[in-house]
Amino acid sequence: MRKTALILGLAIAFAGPAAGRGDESLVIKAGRIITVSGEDIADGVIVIRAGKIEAVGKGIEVPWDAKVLDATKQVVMPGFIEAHTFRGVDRANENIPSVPFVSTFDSVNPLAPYFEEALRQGITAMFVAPGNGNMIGGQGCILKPVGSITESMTLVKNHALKISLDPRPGMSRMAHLAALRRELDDVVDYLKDLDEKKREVPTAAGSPAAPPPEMEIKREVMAKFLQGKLAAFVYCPTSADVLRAIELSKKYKFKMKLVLGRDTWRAADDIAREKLEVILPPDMIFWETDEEKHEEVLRVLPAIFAKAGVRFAFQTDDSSTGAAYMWYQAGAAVRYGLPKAEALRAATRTPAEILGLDPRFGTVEKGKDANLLLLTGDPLDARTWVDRVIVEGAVVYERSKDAKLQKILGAEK
Amino acid sequence: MALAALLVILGRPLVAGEVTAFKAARALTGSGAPIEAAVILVENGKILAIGPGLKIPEGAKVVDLGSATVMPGLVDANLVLWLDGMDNEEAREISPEFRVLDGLNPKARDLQRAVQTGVTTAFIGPGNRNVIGGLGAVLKTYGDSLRQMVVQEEAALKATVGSGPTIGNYPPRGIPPVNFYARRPTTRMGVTWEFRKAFIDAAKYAGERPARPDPAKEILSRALARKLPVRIAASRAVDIESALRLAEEFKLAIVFEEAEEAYRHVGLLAQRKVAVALRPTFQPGRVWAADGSEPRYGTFTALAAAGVPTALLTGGPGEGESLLAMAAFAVRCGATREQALAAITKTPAEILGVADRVGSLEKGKDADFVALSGDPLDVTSRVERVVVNGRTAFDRTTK
Repeated sequence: MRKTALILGLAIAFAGPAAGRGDESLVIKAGRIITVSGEDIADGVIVIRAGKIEAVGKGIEVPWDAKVLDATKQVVMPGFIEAHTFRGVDRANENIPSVPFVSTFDSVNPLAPYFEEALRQGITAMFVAPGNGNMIGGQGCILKPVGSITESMTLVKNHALKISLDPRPGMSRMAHLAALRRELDDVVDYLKDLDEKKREVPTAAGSPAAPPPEMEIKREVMAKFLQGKLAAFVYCPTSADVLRAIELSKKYKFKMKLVLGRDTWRAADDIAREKLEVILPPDMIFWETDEEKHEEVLRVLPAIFAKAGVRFAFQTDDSSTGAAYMWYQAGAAVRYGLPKAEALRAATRTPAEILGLDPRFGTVEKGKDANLLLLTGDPLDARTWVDRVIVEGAVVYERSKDAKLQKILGAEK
Repeated sequence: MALAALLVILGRPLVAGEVTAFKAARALTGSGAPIEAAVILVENGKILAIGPGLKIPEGAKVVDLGSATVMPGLVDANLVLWLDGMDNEEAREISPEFRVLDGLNPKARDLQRAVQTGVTTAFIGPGNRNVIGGLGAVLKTYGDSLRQMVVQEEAALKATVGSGPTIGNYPPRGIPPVNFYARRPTTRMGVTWEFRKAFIDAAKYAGERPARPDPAKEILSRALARKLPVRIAASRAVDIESALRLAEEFKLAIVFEEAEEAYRHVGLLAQRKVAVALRPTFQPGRVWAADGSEPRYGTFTALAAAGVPTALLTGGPGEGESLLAMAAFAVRCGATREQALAAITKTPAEILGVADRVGSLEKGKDADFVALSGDPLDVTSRVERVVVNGRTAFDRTTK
């Protein structure tokens, strides 16, 4: 009898968090819902079924069989999305300059502290890209910080190609660009050759049928890229690099998103004109010395790019304290004039759009995945903690059960 | 003409006897309840009076800060900046008579940046590469000359216990010892020994008092007589323990710097009444930290709760790493509002021995304050104006 009760108890314990996954409904009663797609909803209800948001709004009838999460004293918002990072892998770059055929999928370490901390801080999806050190660094993968093997974490296995316009140490920009153009021309020539060979095959009638020429495996990624089937994330450390990237993308007709360094703000208008989506550097608010006035001038990238009409996403980084948190990045942008709604968009909806995940992620709307944060207060308040995280309808993080957090918040040895 | 006008606004030297009245919606004084509709009367760089709706004397210059919240100027207990030259002597591990002030450019850009984040007073010391690095100073972050800025010329003797002074070192075998690396110590044991040897020699020197004074040993003797505090940078628990042992052995008055693993010795630090200038321990997801230490979110909270005087340091020279941000993170990780605000104003002022002049807004203290667009612990608040010795050192509206 006791054993049955135990098994039943376990069954309930497991059924609980997954209630929103199957046919059962999971309902969240929220004090406030930040939808990001529209106005905030006070005292709202979110109905989740089969991992999707079935309804969201005020005064929605709660299905009688639904499991209800009480968040009436909390704020519910879409999970944060990291549009570009190179954490969570052992090394960010291979040590030869052009390696389009490698993928970070093969070097993700699911046990890396980054994923654990990302979930704790409310990041529910991240694009783990190769680092900024290689001319052509390879492909990246889009993950959720849930699961202990890479396969179960993966949302998109090979998402985009990473290109860097930052010359390697000891190399000039001219040499870097020349090498990149040579690489791209080489692929163009190869594809032309392959095309011609394919066309030649039927003309060889009479002779024994030659097998149709196949593409070399190592060429596949670059071919997909130049055929427009794979976008590039291009790292531009300076404004000049932004202009080179625009020039290259036009000449070789590829699609790209820009991963920006700090010194790119002078190209804000050019980026706006080309309607490019960008990812801001983690240290997006910084000083520069005005050499004429001998003054330290604060450059606020979110304000500069917002004014120019560029759509941007924030990026976090573990090398510094504030910039390690997505909510802090949003708060810092608001500090210098960005409207709060736009700041929250740059941490949720815009990165989802940049990653092509917007049909599923980034807002609290009917039909989207139930990727939600239940916060103890306003997201931009430093005292607020992520209390629960829901990914695909399942509660995957509960602060009350986060033993590691209790340990690092406490003082015990 | 415009330039002249700007000079008048920004760097106006106060004429003796001239009173300036600063009006703000709210003032957090650090020494009592918040004051609504606050008026701060300033004369000769000092606070003449502070209170709600004070009568403004006739002829006083009025600066209306509008809806701003005013708080005491921030005190950075260890401002790290680029000196003109290196911040440690290469040829020696023990260089107590070296003064950081001699390498400091009063117009350093890092000082200008610190002002913009609200820092008005700072301790600046030698780096962590020498066992005993030299003398650190306390100064105001804004002024016309170094002389005007200095609050304490010889504020503390900087030492490092840990692996800092050993990094990359090797004994100078058969080569001239011309750089950092061709030297000892190469182990933690060696670091502790260099420290002990210096103070054993100094104690002997102090007993004998030779006719010709040795400047290095004079400084060490002052530390032995507890007339000069010793600032010890130690990150790991083992180094904190070693430093406490050394302090006990030579009866030194010490203050810890960095001390990421202080949470392991909270009781000991409280019992010994040793203050801590704590490097931020709020970096999430970091697997490494200074000297291989293991930082914890709750370190500040634990130290403050145990009554260990603890000042918060910045995370680095960046805007997002400011003292205000660190105070917000401290509250996030369990500290009270009062503890966090004191840790960037009053507590560091006390640790640096300058609390009679700065750290709170009170009659007779230096007129150093920060005007913020909102509450200091709100990360969306920004620094609007910084006043040092009654003079506007930074004004966002003119930027």
